[in-house]
Amino acid sequence: MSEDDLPPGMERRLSLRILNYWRSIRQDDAFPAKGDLDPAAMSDIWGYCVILKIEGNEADPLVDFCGDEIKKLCGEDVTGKTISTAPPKCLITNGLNLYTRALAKRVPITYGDEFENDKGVKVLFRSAILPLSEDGTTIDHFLCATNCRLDEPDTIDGDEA
Amino acid sequence: MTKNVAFEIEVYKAGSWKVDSIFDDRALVLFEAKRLESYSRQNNIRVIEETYDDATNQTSARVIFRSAKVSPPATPAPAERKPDVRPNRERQKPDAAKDSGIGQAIWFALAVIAIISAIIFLKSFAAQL
Repeated sequence: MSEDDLPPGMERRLSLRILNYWRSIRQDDAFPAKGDLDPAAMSDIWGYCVILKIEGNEADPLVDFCGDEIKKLCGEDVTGKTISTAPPKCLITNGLNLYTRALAKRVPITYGDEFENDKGVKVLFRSAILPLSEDGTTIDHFLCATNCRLDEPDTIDGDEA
Repeated sequence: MTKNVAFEIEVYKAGSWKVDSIFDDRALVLFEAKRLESYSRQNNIRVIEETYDDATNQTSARVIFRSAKVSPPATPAPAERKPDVRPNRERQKPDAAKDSGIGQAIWFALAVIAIISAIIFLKSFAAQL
């Protein structure tokens, strides 16, 4: 299901949809565990999701899972790589770089920014980073979701084509 | 000079405000705060705007949204007390009973006075004979 196929009234913004899902599987104040995630329950956004493994990799998280849409946007499958070893100008490296803040604050963070990809095109993205924990307290993974659009000159209102 | 702005949704739990989530977009955080407010039954919610100024190296914070919900008071406020919805007849019962008691006492006193007057009259009548 693409965003265009969503039922009327359903939240369209990826960052809020993933946040709503995260809240729905959360028990009281405890963080949900990685095992609580159900890709079928968020099939429309699962392709835009990334799971970062923090446990033992606090300074340089490992990409534990990479959704299909993210693979396309990055141009390769970065599963098994760390943030520092992923291509420097891809969405994962630039779109999920606030994990340190989420780790320090211990709350979900939603933010947007821009960067220039390897083709020199400006990429505008919005991401959400959400804590996961096996024991409900110690953050061991992050569920992330990110999407973007390319700010190509010939696609901006057609006036620079 | 750069000013970095962040927005925090805070939820009032167990006697203190706790950060729930962090956003960088004002419209998005207000949307989410209002959505949370509509779904949450007992939590108070507020949104803090934090601005960090590179030039002064200082952070300022202000509340830009606060949910309308308030903690329930221990005793209901006078305006919130339940109205007396009993029928007029029932509500007047105590007063009617009170009125009825007073009436009986008056009648009893009048009767005693009448009896005493009758006895006095009969005694004086007998004395004249």
